[in-house]
Amino acid sequence: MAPARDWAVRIATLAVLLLIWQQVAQRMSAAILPTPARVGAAAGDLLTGGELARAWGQTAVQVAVAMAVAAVAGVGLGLLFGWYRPLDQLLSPLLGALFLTPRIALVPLIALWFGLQDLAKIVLILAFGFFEVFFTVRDGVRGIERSYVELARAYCVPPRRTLRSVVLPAARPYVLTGLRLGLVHALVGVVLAGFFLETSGIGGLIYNLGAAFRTAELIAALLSVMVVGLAVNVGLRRLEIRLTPWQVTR
Amino acid sequence: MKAASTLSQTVKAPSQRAWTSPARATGIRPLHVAGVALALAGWQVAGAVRPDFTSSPTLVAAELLRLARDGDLLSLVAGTVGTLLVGWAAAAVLGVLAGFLIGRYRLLAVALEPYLVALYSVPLIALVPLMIIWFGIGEGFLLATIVLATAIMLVFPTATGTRESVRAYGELARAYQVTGRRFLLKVVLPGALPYIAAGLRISVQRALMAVVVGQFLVGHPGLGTLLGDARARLDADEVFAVALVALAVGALLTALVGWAGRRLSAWRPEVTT
Repeated sequence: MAPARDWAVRIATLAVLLLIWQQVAQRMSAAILPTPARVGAAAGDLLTGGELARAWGQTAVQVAVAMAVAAVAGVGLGLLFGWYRPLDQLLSPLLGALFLTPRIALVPLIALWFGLQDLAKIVLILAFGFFEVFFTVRDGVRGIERSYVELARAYCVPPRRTLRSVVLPAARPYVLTGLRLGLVHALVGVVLAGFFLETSGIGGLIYNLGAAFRTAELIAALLSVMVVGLAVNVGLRRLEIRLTPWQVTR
Repeated sequence: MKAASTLSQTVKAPSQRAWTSPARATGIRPLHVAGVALALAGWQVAGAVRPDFTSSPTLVAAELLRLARDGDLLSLVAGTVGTLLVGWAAAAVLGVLAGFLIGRYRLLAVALEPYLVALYSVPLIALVPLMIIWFGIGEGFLLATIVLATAIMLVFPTATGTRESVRAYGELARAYQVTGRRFLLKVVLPGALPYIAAGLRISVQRALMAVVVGQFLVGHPGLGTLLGDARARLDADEVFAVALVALAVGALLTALVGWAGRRLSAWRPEVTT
């Protein structure tokens, strides 16, 4: 099938889905399931009223700070742990344990140490984003072709230079993948931060709209999360393929 | 032919080892133990200085005992895990069914894939408030939340597995006139099992998160309410004790799924080129 026909099928599917939604919604109370048109109107209200922009603005700042820290710490520690095995062995049980703890269980701890304000939210988002970056980079460095490193060693390249000119370039695709996965996970942290810490940002907006049974606006806000998530995931993957075309990304 | 003969034998594929963590493959090293011991010692020292802020291993152990005695910790955890398993099983059935259909019928794949990718890249946990509106705050809500959050994680692995096993054995099965339900149950499903196991492994943490967040938000008794209490009281001992319990549950579930996955796909022939 040609791509054009593929897209025709996809658009037709969307139309069918919307039609089903419309038909179901007409038989239900608007508080339970509003019609697509109502959701559209609610989305317009949220946009023009500035609520959505304000919530996403607060969130964007927190995500930016958290991801900057996650990128620096995750890539740095990932390289370090991937390169120096003893360090990895010493600390990997602890990091593994932290990784296996459902991140939501850290909420009380974060509340205890950092309160409920912006700082706490940044830490929670960091808790979601960091591990993806760290583990992807670490495993990437670990998985680098032994022959590259052995070749460097055979030519007596000093370890520092091996790290810089062999390991770093080989790890680049993993860094990009790690950052993308980290950002996708950070969005979960964003939502939960709004639910369980101070009720602000997009998570807080969703929580408040849900609590007030403003279902049409709630669905509109959820759709905005969906758009952002999709843009992050698909957009960054495109970027990844462009920046490291020799790698098949997962 | 070769693939088929390995399928019927119980062959341990060496490549399976690559799936396990290096720590498990090589066993526990002295440095692992040293790291844990150092951390515990450091924690104990920190606890001696600021017990209200960092608690300490001994305080947490005492708190765990107290929770187990007075706060029926065990029944709360058991209830949470039970809910999780029921919801997760439902999600697995749904996800595998959808994945199979998408892997088998190209038209469905073309029509649905962009929307499924959209669902996949979204923090589905954000939908919990909508789930509350739709399902109330009872057990049904928790199950719906788990299904919503995890089913999608199984769709893509199952679809890949279905495609792979049809590609690898489809012609052979046709040549031996294995068709219809027998083809599905005896060829496609076993061939896709390793992929399904991988999907289950990556979804277990999400299932746990979904059930805990759900309980946390609506106050349905379980691990989530323990977390809620800990957050409200901000008692360091309790905060750490509950986090440890959550860690234990998460680690146990992950280990269990990993073990089951290795058991189920131990015979996996190496056809994934």
